[in-house]
Amino acid sequence: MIIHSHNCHTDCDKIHSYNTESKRRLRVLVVAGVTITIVLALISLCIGSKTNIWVDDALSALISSMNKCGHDLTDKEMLIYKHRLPRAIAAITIGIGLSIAGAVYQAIIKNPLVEPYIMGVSSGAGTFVMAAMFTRFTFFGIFSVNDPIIIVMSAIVGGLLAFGCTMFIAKHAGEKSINYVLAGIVVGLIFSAIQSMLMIRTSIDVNNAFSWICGSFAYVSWDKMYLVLIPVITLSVIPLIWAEEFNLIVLGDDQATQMGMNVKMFNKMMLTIASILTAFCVAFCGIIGFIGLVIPHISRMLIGGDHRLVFPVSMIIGGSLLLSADLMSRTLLVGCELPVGIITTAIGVPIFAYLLIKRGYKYDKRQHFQV
Amino acid sequence: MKTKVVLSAAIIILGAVATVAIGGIEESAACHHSEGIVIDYGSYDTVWMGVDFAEETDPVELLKRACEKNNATPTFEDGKLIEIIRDDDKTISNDSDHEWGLWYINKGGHDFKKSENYRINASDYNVVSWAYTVDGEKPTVAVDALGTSIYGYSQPGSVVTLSPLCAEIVASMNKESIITGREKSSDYPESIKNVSVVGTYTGPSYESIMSVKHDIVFCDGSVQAQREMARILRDSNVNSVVIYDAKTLRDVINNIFIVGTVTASDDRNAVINDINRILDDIKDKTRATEGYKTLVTLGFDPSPYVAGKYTYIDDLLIDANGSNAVGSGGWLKIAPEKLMEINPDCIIVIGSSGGYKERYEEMKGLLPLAWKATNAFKNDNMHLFAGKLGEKTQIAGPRIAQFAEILAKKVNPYAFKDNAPIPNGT
Repeated sequence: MIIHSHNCHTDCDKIHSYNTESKRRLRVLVVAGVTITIVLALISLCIGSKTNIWVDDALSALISSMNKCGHDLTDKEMLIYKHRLPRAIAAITIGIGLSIAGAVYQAIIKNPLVEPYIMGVSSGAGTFVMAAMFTRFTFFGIFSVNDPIIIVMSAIVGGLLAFGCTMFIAKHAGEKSINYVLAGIVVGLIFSAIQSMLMIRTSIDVNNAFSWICGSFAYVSWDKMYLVLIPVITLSVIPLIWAEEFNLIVLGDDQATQMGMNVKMFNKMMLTIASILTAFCVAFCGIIGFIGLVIPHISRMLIGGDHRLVFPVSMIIGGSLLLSADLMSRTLLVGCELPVGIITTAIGVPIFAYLLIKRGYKYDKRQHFQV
Repeated sequence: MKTKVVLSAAIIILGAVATVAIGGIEESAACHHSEGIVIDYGSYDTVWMGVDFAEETDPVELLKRACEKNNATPTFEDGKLIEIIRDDDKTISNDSDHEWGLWYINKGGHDFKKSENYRINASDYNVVSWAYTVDGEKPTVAVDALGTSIYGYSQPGSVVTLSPLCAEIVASMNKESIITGREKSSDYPESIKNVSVVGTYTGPSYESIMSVKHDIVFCDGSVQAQREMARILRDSNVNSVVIYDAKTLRDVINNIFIVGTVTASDDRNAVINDINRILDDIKDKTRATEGYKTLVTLGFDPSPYVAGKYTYIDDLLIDANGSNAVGSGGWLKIAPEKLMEINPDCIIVIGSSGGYKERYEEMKGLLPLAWKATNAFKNDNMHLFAGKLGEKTQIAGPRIAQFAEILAKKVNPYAFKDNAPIPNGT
């Protein structure tokens, strides 16, 4: 008994020190992450493809434009307030949304290779948005052409439909880890084919659809910001509240049920939230891939598998990574804008390949997610 | 867990309410709004008079003021406008085909509606026009592709063009010297090649546009990204005008009219009249002889993209008294079997600037069976429009009249006495 209680004390000490260490790491990462995001945001206000502004000038232009409530602005204030600031906020917001969506998919499906783009959700949402835009759908005349509400609703319908198809195929293919990835690729290809059909039927040329397919923040403005900022932040907070339940889920459905969870209901709710979250992101700026894949992995490498830590770290890293990608997209080529989706794909594909090659064999349901 | 459910639901509801609430008070992008009245004499001959609607909103009074300012005299009979005598003593009167009417475009709308009476308040509408029109036709275009009035702009000292078409139209108005920013692939006329690049066709750069002088920015309405950019620019109090997606010949001429009006160009009517003169000349020459059943394709693909009905190519084929081999509408891809089925008598291939010209004979030899089975191939009636001519075709702008002439000579060769052969691949 003495030995047993000694062992018990040792185990408790280990858990206690692990928790303390994790919390310390979380604090460091949050502080560092927020600092880096603020620095990147400042850089994005100062640097552009043609006009670079000193930090103090940028800050004073920002403050004066806010004092003027966006009216009667000088050229510098216009550049900061009307263009660079909303872009920076949108990039951070969508980075948060896609990262959280990716982390949720990976936890629920217990496959670390899934994310909204690979699951076909982004393609589904993007296809329905393209259909609404280029067929000038007005929902029987109730809304105007290209009304933001039509765009968002189309994205949600498309995203949920695509997700449902992916889950259906994966389930009937055996529900193994790799089946979800393959099903997502199949669904993504189906929606790509639908996009091609749309382009042929409505005479849209490829150029016209290109900026949508590749994603861009170039057309962000304050009048549409509310439609992404509030819903994305709102929906991103929900998984944070349920982080402990995510930790139970990754232990397995049986274990989670024994702990008193309604696993099916929980999975449905969270996957729906993640799909709607993705749809809002796609509706606003097109299809941006690999953020939801890469960021949760980076977070786990830094902080471990505890979702109480993974989610907030993912939000911070996701926001700053997409902000950097947007900064690169508008400064890499002088005078031109690269779609931000190209940048994220260039970053994400090598990492995805590395994960497949180096860690593919380890991706059984639980191994990767040990807390 | 119950607490978490309640908290989650509360957050979602709060988020939804906040979104709807803020959405309700958000202002849409500011857009150019001009106060005044249009007198439309027909054939793209219009006069604009700006007026402060605080002073007057009755369209009859506004017409009288506009006529007085322009040395014209309106005549009313039984309260109805029947004629206007212009400053050049030309009288524009109602007749069996034409009639003066009061037309308006609603705010946020695109289309003209005819007013049943003259008792409207001009300030309630986007555009008000006294127009001399043929029965069944509408007045001259008065709003751009986003529904913003094209009148009331100050003469610009600098313009930015976001597509080759916009640049070409501005240049046709003899205004290429005021182009301060261009889209990357815009290279006509040659003089604009040294102008700053402000983005690509599908990716205009806001920062680059703002870094150059920009009294007006011309955007191409066929590109979604440019329509979005126009909205962003208007939100930044930058005047931006969106030309229409030039599907038909009328759209092509409307775009020229829009650019000419916005830039207050003296050459606007001359350019349009030149185009119409050439097209009328083609119609006159080809009236008596029937042209070929013609297929116009982009490239030599086994399943080519072809110009169907309701395209400007179709309009030009009809003007040349030919017929379009394709019965369906728009630009579409047809299967090889369809190509054999429609069996055109004449095929016009529009090529890009590289490679086709040099390899024309070689490519003819390599054509798929479907092409070789057509009357056009058997009778050696296939023609390639490449290089500069190909450009004239693909950019539906002022040079379309030159393209129309050459197309007519191929579609209806017997109608042209001076039918000097045009080398293939020109």
